[in-house]
Amino acid sequence: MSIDFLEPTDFSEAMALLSEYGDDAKVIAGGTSVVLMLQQKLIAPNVLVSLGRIEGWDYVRLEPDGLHIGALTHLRDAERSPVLRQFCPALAYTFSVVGNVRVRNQATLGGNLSAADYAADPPAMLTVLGARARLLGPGGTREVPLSEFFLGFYTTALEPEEILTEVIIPVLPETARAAYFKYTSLSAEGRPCVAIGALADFDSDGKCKDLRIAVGAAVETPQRVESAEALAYGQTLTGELVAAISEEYARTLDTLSDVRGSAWYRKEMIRVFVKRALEEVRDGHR
Amino acid sequence: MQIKDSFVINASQEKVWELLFDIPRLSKCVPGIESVEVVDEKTYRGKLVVKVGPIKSQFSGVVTLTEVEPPQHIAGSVEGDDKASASSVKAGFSGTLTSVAAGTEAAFVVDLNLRGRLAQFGGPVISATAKKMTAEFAKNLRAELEH
Repeated sequence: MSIDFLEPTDFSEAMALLSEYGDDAKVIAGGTSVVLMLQQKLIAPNVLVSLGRIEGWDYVRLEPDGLHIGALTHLRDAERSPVLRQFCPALAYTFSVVGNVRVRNQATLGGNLSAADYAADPPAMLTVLGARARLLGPGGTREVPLSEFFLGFYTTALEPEEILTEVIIPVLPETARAAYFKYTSLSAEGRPCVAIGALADFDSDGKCKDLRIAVGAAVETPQRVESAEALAYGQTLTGELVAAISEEYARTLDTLSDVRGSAWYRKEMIRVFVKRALEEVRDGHR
Repeated sequence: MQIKDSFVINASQEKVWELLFDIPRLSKCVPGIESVEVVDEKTYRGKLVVKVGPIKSQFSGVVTLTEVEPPQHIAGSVEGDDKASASSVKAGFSGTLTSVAAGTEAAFVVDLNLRGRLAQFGGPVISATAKKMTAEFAKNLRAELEH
């Protein structure tokens, strides 16, 4: 069976094609996820709507309300962007550990998020940074916080005719520190078994003003545990407190089992890596 | 892999049991059912569509009941396949209805064996999908029985 490969040159044309073909169409950007699904015959669309010829949506720029990343930005370009590295080194690091360099040269940020693969690096980090996804649909654009964007395995808040066009990350406080930890259990360039994104902010006395930790890859969608984060507010992150917060994450989260680790093992690794992430945001630099 | 779940419906055990064997009404409650055909009183043939994100599979299969003890227990097996993804499913199931203070508790255990391309998804995706379908089934049953 042959597949029609359509190459619109702007988003409105792409959207029109999606309404025309409905369920028969699938959006493809870098193709690192869609092509795998096609090869494995998990999806069988009649039409592929490629975003490859749409120009002007691969950028990283700082605006007054935060960092804007175009959905068609390749992960490799995001990782190397001086603007992004300046804005949040931990985010640049997050992009730098996705797959391998061949994958990152091809994969786009919009594609990575829209695929909603649970075993991915960017979702957990972008969630703690308070990122929003801008979606373009027939009714115009809307913004969805990433914490509400991932609905389940391979499932997002995107409506059938909507396309993710941009990711916006609000400006972080000068004093905030972020960290990303990827734990792989198979090969070094494999998908994460556990992914931890962390962001913390401290007052001049070293007391914690804000703490956000999201766990990805070990659970269906990135998860924060607010009861654990709340333990840190107004406190100095002592060894005991770090242990208590890590314990609360390990205890609370409903982890999954797959080839990269059992549910039990993942809980143990969450305990270890939440602790390391907390130590990093406490002792490390921005 | 084993899938185990339960839910409570605010209706009498007899009413829930009755609905389980009222195929037209029951099939309205099962998410993704496209058709059901009664072959004989213990055999049913049907089509079920399951969607996980962009992946849509259509299973055709046969349900065979091996144990029927009204109004509390059923057990049986399911065999089916999805041609498009060259996947097949074999499952044994047993279900129990128990009278509880809030109505009737329905509990079930399914031993599922999925083969073919869909199986590469692995356990977590399958069990989460089963959980969502169970929740929707319970919601539909409630809408049907709790007036």
